[in-house]
Amino acid sequence: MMHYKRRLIPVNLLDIPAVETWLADLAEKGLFLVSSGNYFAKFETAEPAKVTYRLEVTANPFLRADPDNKKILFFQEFGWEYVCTFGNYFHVYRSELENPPEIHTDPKQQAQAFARICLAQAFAAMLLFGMLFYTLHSSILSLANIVKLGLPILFALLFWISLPIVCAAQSFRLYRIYRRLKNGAHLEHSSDYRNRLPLRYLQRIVPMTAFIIILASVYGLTIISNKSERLEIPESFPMVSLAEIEQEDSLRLAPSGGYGNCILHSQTFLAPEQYTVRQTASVNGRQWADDSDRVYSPFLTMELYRLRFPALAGPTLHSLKRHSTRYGIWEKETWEGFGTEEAYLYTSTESPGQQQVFLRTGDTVICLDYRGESDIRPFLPEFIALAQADFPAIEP
Amino acid sequence: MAKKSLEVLTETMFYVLLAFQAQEMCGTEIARFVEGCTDGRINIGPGTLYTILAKFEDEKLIEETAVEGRKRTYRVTEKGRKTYQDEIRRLKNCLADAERAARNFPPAQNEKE
Repeated sequence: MMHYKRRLIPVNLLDIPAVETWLADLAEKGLFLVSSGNYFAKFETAEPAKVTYRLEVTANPFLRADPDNKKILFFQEFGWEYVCTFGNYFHVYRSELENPPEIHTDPKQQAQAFARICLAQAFAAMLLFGMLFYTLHSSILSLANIVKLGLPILFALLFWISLPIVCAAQSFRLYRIYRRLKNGAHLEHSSDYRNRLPLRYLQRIVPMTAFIIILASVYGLTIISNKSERLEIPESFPMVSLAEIEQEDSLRLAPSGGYGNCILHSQTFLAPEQYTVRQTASVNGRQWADDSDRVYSPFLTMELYRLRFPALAGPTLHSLKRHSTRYGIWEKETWEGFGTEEAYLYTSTESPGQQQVFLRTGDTVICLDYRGESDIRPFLPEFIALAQADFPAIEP
Repeated sequence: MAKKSLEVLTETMFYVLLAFQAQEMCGTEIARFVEGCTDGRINIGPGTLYTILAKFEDEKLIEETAVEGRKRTYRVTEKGRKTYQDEIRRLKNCLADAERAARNFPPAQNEKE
C-alpha cells in the first residue's frame, strides 16, 4: 500500500535551484514528489534513492496543464520521467540515471520560455495594479465603509495592496532569470537552501498565514454580516417618525419588523454604536405628483453612527456624503447654527422628493435618506436632538 | 501574427540538421551524434532537442517516419536538405570573408595572431 506525506515547500517556487535541491534531498530520505500546490507538496514514501529533479517552464503560463504525451515519451527516451506540474509555471521531471543529460542545454532557447512566463506575470501584475487603483478610487474602501464594516475591510485593503506587489516582485525575479539566460549563462541546479532553513520556513509561513487571515476576513466581510437581525422599532426608541413628517391620515406603515419597517444595530471598532432605522409607508388613493400612476409610498431611512474617536466624525460625515451622493445631481444646502457642528441638506434635482440630511454633533454622525413629497427642513431640530439622545439597548 | 521562419540556424540547430544528412534518427541518436561529431563540445538535452525538432517539423525541414513505443524517428525533407546546403554556403562565405579580411589586417596585427 502506498503511503503519502505532505511537506510545506520551504523555498520560493521561482527559486529553481533551491526547489530542485530540496526535492533531491527528500528523495534521499525516501520521499518522492507526486504532486504539488503552491505551498504544500505531496510525497510518496519508498526506499531512499538518488534522484535528480529538473523544472521546465510550461508551454502556456495561463493553463495548469500537463505536457503533451509526445513530449513525455520523448523525455523518457533520455531517462527523464514527468512527475507533475509545480506552481503554474513549471513541469517537474525526475531521473534516476547517475549522470542524466541536462534537459535544457541552450540557455538562449530557454530564455524565450522564461520571457513568456515573465510577460504573463507582468501582465497579471499590471491588471492587479489597475484593479487596486480602481478600488482605491471607488467608494468600496472609503472611511464610511471602514466605519460601517470594521477591520475586515482594512484586511481586504491589505490583501488588495499585497497581491499586485507580490505579483510584480515575482515578475522581476523571472525577468532576472530571463536576462541571465539571454546572456548565455546556464541555470544553476544546486542551492545552499539548507542555510537559514528556519528563516526560509518562516518566510513561507508568515505570508501564507497572513493570506489565510486576510482571505477569511474578506470572506467574513462578504458572507457574515455584522448587522443584527431586523427588529421591531421599540416605542421608546428616539427617532423622527415618518408619520410625523407626512401628516397623512391614511398613511399605512409597512409591517413592523419587516424589511420596510425595522431597526438594525451593529458595532465595529471605530463605531461601537450603529443604528439603521427604516420606515416605509403607503397612502391608499394617493399617487406621486409626477403623474407616474404609482401609489404614493414615502420612506425614511436613518443611519446613526456613534464613533469611538470624535475626531473621526468630520471625515466620516464627508465620506458618507460623498458615498451617498455619488450618483445623480444634487443641490446642496448648508445649515448653520442649531447647535450642530455640521449639517447639510441635499435635494435631488433629478428625482423630485428625494432629500438627504447629513449632520454631526460631537462623536455622532447622522445620515437621513427621505423620499416623499414633504419638506423635511422643519424637522432639523428633531434630527439634531437625535444626535444627543441616549439609545436603549436593543434586544431581539 | 505569422510565425517567423528560420532564416539563420543556431549552432545547435545546424548540428541537428547535419545529423539527418546521413540517415534517419531518433532523439537519443541525434544527441549522441552531435556529441560525437563535436568531440563533446555540444551536448543537446531532450528539452532543447524537442523544441528544435518541433520547430523543424513546423517548417517542414524534417518529417516523422516511425513511432516505436516511446521512440520516434525522423528524416530530413528536400526543404531540409536545401536549408542545410544554404547554411553551409553561408558559413563558407563567412569564413572566406574572415580570411580575406585577416590578410588585409596591418602586419603587426597579423604577427600577433
